[in-house]
Amino acid sequence: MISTPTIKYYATPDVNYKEILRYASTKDGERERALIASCFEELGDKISYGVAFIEKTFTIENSVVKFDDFSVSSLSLAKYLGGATSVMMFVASIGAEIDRLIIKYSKLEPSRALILQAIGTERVESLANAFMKELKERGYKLSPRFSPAFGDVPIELQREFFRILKPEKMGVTLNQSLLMSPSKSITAFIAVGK
Amino acid sequence: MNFKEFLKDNIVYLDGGLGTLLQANGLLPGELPERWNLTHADVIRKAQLDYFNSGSNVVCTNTFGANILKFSNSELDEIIKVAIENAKFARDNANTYAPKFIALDIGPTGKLLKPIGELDFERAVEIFATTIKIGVKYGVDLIVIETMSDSYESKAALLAAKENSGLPIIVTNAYGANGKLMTGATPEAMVAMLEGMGVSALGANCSLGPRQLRPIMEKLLAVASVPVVFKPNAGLPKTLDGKTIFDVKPYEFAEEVTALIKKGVRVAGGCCGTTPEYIKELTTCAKGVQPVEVTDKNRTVISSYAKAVTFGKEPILIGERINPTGKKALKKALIDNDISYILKEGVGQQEKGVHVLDVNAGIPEVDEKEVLTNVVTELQSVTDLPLAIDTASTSAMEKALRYYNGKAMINSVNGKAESMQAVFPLVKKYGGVVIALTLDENGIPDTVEGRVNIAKKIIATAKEYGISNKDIVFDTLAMAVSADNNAPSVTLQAISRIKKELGCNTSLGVSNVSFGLPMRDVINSTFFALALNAGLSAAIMNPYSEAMLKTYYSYNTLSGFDSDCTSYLEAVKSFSEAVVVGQPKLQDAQAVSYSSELQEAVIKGYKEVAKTATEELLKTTLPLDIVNNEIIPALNVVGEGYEKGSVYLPGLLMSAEASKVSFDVIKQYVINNGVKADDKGTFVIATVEGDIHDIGKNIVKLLLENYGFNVIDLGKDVKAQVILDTVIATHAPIVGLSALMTTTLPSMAEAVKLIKEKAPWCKTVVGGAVLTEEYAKKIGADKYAKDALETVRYAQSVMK
Repeated sequence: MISTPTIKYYATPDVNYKEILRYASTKDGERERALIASCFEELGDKISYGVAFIEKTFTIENSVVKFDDFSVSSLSLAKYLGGATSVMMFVASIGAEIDRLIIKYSKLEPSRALILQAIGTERVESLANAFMKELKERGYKLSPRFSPAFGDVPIELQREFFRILKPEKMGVTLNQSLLMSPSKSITAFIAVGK
Repeated sequence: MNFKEFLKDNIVYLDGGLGTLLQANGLLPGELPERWNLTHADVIRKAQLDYFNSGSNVVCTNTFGANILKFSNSELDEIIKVAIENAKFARDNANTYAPKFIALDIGPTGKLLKPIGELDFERAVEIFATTIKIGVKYGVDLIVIETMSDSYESKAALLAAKENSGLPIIVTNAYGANGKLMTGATPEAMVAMLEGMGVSALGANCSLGPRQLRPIMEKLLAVASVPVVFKPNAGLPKTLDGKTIFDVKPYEFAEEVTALIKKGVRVAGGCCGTTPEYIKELTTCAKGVQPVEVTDKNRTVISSYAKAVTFGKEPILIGERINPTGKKALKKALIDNDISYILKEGVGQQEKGVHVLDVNAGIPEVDEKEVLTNVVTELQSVTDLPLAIDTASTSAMEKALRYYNGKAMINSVNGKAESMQAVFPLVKKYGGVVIALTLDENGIPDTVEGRVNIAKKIIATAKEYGISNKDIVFDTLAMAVSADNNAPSVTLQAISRIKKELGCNTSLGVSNVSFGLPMRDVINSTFFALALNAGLSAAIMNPYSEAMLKTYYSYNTLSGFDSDCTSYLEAVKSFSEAVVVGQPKLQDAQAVSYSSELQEAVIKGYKEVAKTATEELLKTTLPLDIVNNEIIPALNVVGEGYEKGSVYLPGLLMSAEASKVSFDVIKQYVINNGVKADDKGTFVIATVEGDIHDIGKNIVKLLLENYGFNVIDLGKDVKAQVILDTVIATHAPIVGLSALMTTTLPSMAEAVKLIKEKAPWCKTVVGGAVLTEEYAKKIGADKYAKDALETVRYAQSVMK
């Protein structure tokens, strides 16, 4: 059990080009390729790959999932965690500098902002995949990840992730609206042992 | 002995980590450690006593996260009061003779500031101020602001500390493995800003171990003129049997830190994972090491949120284009609050290679204080260049300097007593390098001696305010040679004497010299070369003047600043004699034929071609005809393709951007030639209150502008009342509202309701990721638009 919150930085995960096209809802044309390549060039070393995580035990009673110091009433989370031996909670983020570029180009060149958004989403998803892959290599049996606001899981659960994992240490913060800054950040549960 | 006196001649030892100790005593993940001041005072006091007994001179109160975002005012007061009592207990019961001090510990708010996050700068100042006022009330010796990973938040905390106490302040930042803060600042940029604002010491803490932080410490030591602080973690975290441990042992830690003390670190301690044992090892290991003297590095430096720019080596180019004097289009943009025009001026100058952007918003038609601050903040969201705040209004200068993220250039002060009285206190408070004009109550002296004497007077007065020579750059005033053929020589000699005799940097607004003469570029660039040769450090200039850039790059090459002539060879590529490589001249690869080059450029999204094709067309065609016969048909081709699914959103946007370039050329032509513009009507657009997402809104805006609408963009997170006020003031027939998040839909409902009530003539169109047709109906909006093009179509139907 990884029972204290831990922050780890990862090497650059492989780029999933198709996912970038999908997030940008565009086809694979010459013009698009050139734009994506030039966005990556501009990003340079401006992306970091950090994950804060902790492993927790829980019990389930009548669709209420109880952890040691908080509980969630959610049928879909109870269903997701049913049969698991423990759960990993994590926050993954690729940092704030890509947000600066998105802000800049959304004012000056929206096509570029759109592609940067897509790249950012792909990068943070790939980071989460890399994190899970490493856990699997360490012998963890994992289910696909499950985030607050999926199903009937309340978005307010974001507060528990932040209270426990303190991802502020790697620069991730929670806004009043319960969305995160930097924007390219993910919170999720991963059921272990199912 | 007070802390400042002790710091002057001694190595100061701070404490180590507290988190690890509290966890060992049962602090749970997610529990607020600050509450332990009250519930586990014995544990806190023991830890702090152990630190003093291990040789710490300074113990920080257990108040890292003590702020009004986490605690009520009364609980906050109680926590800070007891935290200080605990630290005092430890101090009074310690068994060493070393001088001991108690620091009020201030950590980050846990929120990111605008523009990346949603916390307003003044709100951040207020949060820190509340904590600091309480700390000062119960009595501490100094304030330690630590683990800041954002330069803007560091500034907010430092400003709050300066405004609410006279105590010494230490600021340490959390640098990442890439050697920068999370939001991009280099160590050099942080030193510029923090020293400019007058910290007692600065440095790095947390995030990495002593070995990984070493390169950052070396950078800090090389440039800092105040004592440098080093407070690393006990190495990098590792997970062992489910627990987090750090990989550097106490003796290794002590050796690494001592090695840097020998290199000049003057304040040392530990952060995460360190314990009293680490501090004991450190104070033992460094015993007898002589403190390295802190010297003034005498650097004239300014900074942005990301990088520092230093004066005195290669000449610095300050872009002059964001100044409404004599520029109709910019003046209009300032009046219309057309921020994107101004941002393009900024980014365009950066692409031409300037190092600093001068920003002037002084026209009588606008509230300069608000507009200047807004332009400065907006520019900082698109460029990492430092800015020169250029204004004659003290209140506008103060507000812009306050909100500026970094250490700004301040343009300007002069030798008049009144000017110095107004400007110097601002330089002292917010930091900055000030441009000082060598003129005074008696005007501009026409002798070299006269100008140098004014410079001396300015230096002497600045000193009274605690501002040193390095933060003053003198402008010896370029005057028209057509009026006085001796004038340039006086200006040049004054530069040279100020540099030699006073050791100060200089700057010139070069182009004044050619006033009244034809072919001004030739005179300007030659005068620029002469001034550089006289020792000029910076020029306020037009970076679109090729002659000036030619002088600049060739001067650098000839003066040995440009190894292997690399910059020169790179720069010449963009000069007009050079063969242009870049976007290809359009040779149609596809079998499609286009009725004109402009149409093809718009359809394919080639901005450069769109620009030149439009300029060419304007020689023979009326602006309105270009719009109606070229741009709109081309946009329609792309729009239809998008609706059919053969063109995708990025393609649509690239075309829209190309046509925007074309429109901008036309707009400029229209303004310069006084032709009446084709205005399809006013469209007010905003992202609703609480929502900070605006990509969607910006896309809609771009397309609307393409189709000739006069778009008033209120930005994001806009209050319903502001939207209504604008609709009423402009009598706009239509307003577009955007929301991305479910949590902000109520703000949209409120805005629609208010507009329906108070401005019944105005149609409302709504859109955004979470919006549906049903919801739009429910809140009473006139129209739900699924995308940007649908919004355009609806606007066209409304305006008909």
